[in-house]
Parts: sequence; C-alpha cells; structure tokens
Amino acid sequence: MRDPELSIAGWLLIGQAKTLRERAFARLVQGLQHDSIEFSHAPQQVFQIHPVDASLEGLMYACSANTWARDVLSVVPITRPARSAVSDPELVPMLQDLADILAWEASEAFSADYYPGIPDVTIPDEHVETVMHALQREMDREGKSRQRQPVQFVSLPVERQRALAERRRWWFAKFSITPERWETGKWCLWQVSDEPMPEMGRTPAYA
Amino acid sequence: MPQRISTPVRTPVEAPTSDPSPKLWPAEICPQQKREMASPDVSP
Repeated sequence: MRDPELSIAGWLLIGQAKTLRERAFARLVQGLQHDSIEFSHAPQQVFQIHPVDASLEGLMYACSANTWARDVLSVVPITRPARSAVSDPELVPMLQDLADILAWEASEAFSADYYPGIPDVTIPDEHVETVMHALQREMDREGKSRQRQPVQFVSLPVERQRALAERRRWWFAKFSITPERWETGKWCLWQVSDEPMPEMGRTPAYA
Repeated sequence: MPQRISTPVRTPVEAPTSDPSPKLWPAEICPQQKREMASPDVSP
C-alpha cells in the first residue's frame, strides 16, 4: 500500500532506495517531468536536471549538480504545524523513517532484554523527563481514542528512560538534526546518514 | 461411611490482570501519529 503522503514518483523511487538518505530523497520527490523535478516542500519550483544514469543514485547526483536544487534540499522544514487544536506539531512526512524508527525504539525500551544508551550522548535529567512527557502525550491521546491502555514511560527504569532519550537524539542526528540544527527548524538531505534503514523486526505498514 | 472424594484444585499460573485490554505499544500507532510522537517541538 502506498503511503498517502508519498507521491507516485516517490513511491517508485523508494523501491530502489537502500540508505536513509536515499529513502528521504524519495520521500521528497513530488514529481518528475521530461527533464525536471519538483520537491514536496518547495511547491511550484521546478528544477532542470540532466541525469546521466537511469537510477535513483543518478537522479540524486543530478540534483546535487543543480545549485538551486542542491540548496533547496539543504533546508527542508523539520516540522509541520498541528492539524487541529487537539493535535501536536508533527515531523514532516519526508521524515517518516525517523518517526518509524523512534516509535520502534520506544517499544524496544519496554521489551528488549538489553537496551543500552549511547556513550557519546549526554542529556541532562530534566531533558530526559521532558522527552518522556512528550512521548507520553501522543500515546495517551491514541490510547483514549482506541480504548486501550497506553504504555507508561515513567514506569520504565530511569536508565532505560535515559537510554531512550539518548537514542532519540542519536537517531535525530542520523537525519542531520542535531540540537543546534533543530534550532534552525531545517534539516539537510545531504547530511542524512548513508547507512541502511535498520531492521525493525516487522515490516512497516507503508513503504 | 461414604468415601471421601478430594477435588483437585487448579492453581492459576498467573494472577489475572485487572485490565484485560491489551497494552498499546508505540510501534502499533499509525504513521501520522508516529510523526506526532516524535515530538519535533522538543529538542533532540
């Protein structure tokens, strides 16, 4: 099934994508014409490109060779405003892989036998609490609408809460979003990690 | 005198939970809700 946020062109491309960066690129593509490309976050801007290789890699290379396309892909918004008074701001759909990974990490914090933190990441106690509260916010809302008891992040051992917050920061950084860049409200496709999408135990509902 | 019959008593392996509904896990929610749960309004 196609993710409704994914264009048909993006859907075809994501089938070829192997890395986090390639998948993010595929999610950014709004349309492909004869010799140009459009991106979801830059509506009504058309970029002329000249790919020499009929592949996703070739298409990305052609975009990086076009100064304007390269620049537009360097400043992609991180958030989309809340859709209603009862919802919260959300990641842009082009960061769906990050959202899927973080939801999986949050489940793993409860169920994994071993759930270590990230040694190089240091997060103050207050920020760990803020992150747990933010994660709980959406789970509570969804639990209410589904009439099911959501997991409680405060019930996790403190070390697991900290590990989850550290891993959250680590994954955001894989998508180029460090705390410093987060302040700018933008992420950069070219700095998204070139590593493969992690195995998450089961196939996501959407591509 | 009637023969005494002992009835075996089955001990439950686990105590019944007070909440029979299954827990809702983060990985189960829909893609849009996962984007909200990522809480982009909170710094990494």
